[in-house]
Formats: sequence, C-alpha cells, structure tokens
Amino acid sequence: METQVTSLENLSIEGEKGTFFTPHVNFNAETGVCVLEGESYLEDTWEFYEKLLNWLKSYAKTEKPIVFELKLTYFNTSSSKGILDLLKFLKSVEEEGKDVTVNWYHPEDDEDNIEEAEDFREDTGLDIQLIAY
Amino acid sequence: MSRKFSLFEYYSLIHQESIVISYKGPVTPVIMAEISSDIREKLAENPTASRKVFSVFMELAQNILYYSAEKVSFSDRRDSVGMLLVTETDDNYIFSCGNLVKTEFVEELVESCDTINSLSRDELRKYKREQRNRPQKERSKGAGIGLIHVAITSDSPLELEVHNVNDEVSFFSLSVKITK
Repeated sequence: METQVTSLENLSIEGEKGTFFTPHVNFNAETGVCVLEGESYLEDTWEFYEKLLNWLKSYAKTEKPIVFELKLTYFNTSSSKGILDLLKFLKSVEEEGKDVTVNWYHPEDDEDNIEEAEDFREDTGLDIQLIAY
Repeated sequence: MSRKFSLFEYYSLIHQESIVISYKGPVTPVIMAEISSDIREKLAENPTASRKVFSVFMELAQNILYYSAEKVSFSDRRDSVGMLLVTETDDNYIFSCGNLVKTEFVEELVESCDTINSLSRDELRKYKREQRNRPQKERSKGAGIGLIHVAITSDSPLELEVHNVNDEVSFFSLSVKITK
C-alpha cells in the first residue's frame, strides 16, 4: 500500500496598508508559532479568515503544540468575527487535548484593545494571555 | 442662468462649527482610505481619541458603503452616497454621518439605536458578544455589530436625526461624541 505523506507548508501573507489593510500573517508549520499582526480591514474578510482557519485545521491534525500570537492594533467588526472563529476552533482542539497557548499583545494604554481581548476570552473560554508592549 | 445652489450658503452653514473634515458624495473604499488616513494625521497628538474616531469612522462609513439607499452611477460603477463630518469642540470630537435609507428599514434602525442607548457599557459588551456569536444575517455584509461597537468605543449615546424625504426613503443621520 502506498502512503502519501504531504507536509503542511508555512502560511505567510505580507501585511499591506492601502485602500484595505491586510494583517501580516506568519503561521509556522514547524514550530506551531502562528503570528497575526497589524491592522485588519479587508475587502474579502470571510475568505481571508477562512484561509487561516483551514490552515489551522490542517495543522491541528499533527501532535505538535500551537502558540497563537495576536498583535493587532486595529480590526473592524467584520474581522473580529473572523478572529472569533479562529479562537473558537483553537478552543475546540484544546478541549480535545492539544497544547494551545494564545498570547494577545496590546499597546499599554489601549483600553479598547484590552477589552476586545477580554471579550474574546469570555466568548471562547480560552486562557488568553495579555501582554503589554 | 440662475444658480439655485449657492456655494456660499453651503460654506456659511458648515462654517458655523469647527470642522475637521466634511464630505458629501460617493462613499467608496478609496475615499474612506483617504479620509481615515487624514483623521489619523490630524488627531495624531491624541492617540486615544485618534484610535477611537478612526474606529468609529470606519464602522459608520462602511454602513454607508453597504446600506445607503442613494446610489450614483459613473460609467460601470455604482457608488453609495452619504455625508461624513468630523467636528471639534473644546472637549470633544464629534463624528456624524448621514445617508438615505429605505423608509421600510427606518423603524428597525431606530429600534436598534434605542436598544443600544438603553444599555450600560458592560451590557453593551455582552450584547456585542451575543450578536457576534449569531450566524450572519442575509441583508448584512458586515458582522451586524457596527453600531454597538460605535457606542462602546465612543462611550456616548448614538444621537439620531430622521427626516422623511418621501414614501420610499428617509434621511438618517447618526452622531457620536468622543472625549478628547
């Protein structure tokens, strides 16, 4: 019987600020460190976040831990729904026994940004770590 | 040839308040990018207010983009029309926007705003989470939580003005205060 081994590639999207704002994405298939950084206001919000979700779904099939690093300075409400879907998925795999860490980096004085993290924590039940910078 | 529209009258009218930005016309992603970047530059000295005005602007301008009942066509494009206004007082920035909405949607819109205005900040955060968890509405291109987000971010009530234009459409405007 032939076994086909396909290895998951890193997901890397260069952040861009033009008419729309694309966040910087660097999901590492080797280390499991997944960075989502910058500003998120997209023309095709659902497609964008679905792509990230699909990558996480593939990665979750491995035994390796996942470290999700969020460093977002601005995201619109549509993006926040996309982010929520990613976090809900992470919670579901954590419940299945996967080692999941979620770090939320925020500007020290940005109360609104901190509240967003608290709301995601409340919504998903994930132990989101708040880290000021 | 007589000019029905006096630019001077228009100028005098909007000159009464301290206007940071005033725009009436097609609201497109490109226009939004320009104005939002202008807001960030002009308010740069006050990062908190700048972030808040920017965030409120983005949500409400997107509402015009998605839902304005007034459209203007250029060649093969069909753009939404609306008004965007940032004014300033000693203590606050005030962001206002206005556009035509189909009269049939006005009641629902006013009810949503009344609900939002009746809630405390903590209740609003809870309400936003509940709404965000709901499946996407058919009419909605966004997450359906823009107005709640605006009330939380500005930490002030949504002030409404509704005028019936004709049987089909009404002018709907919304104004929020952001502390400097």
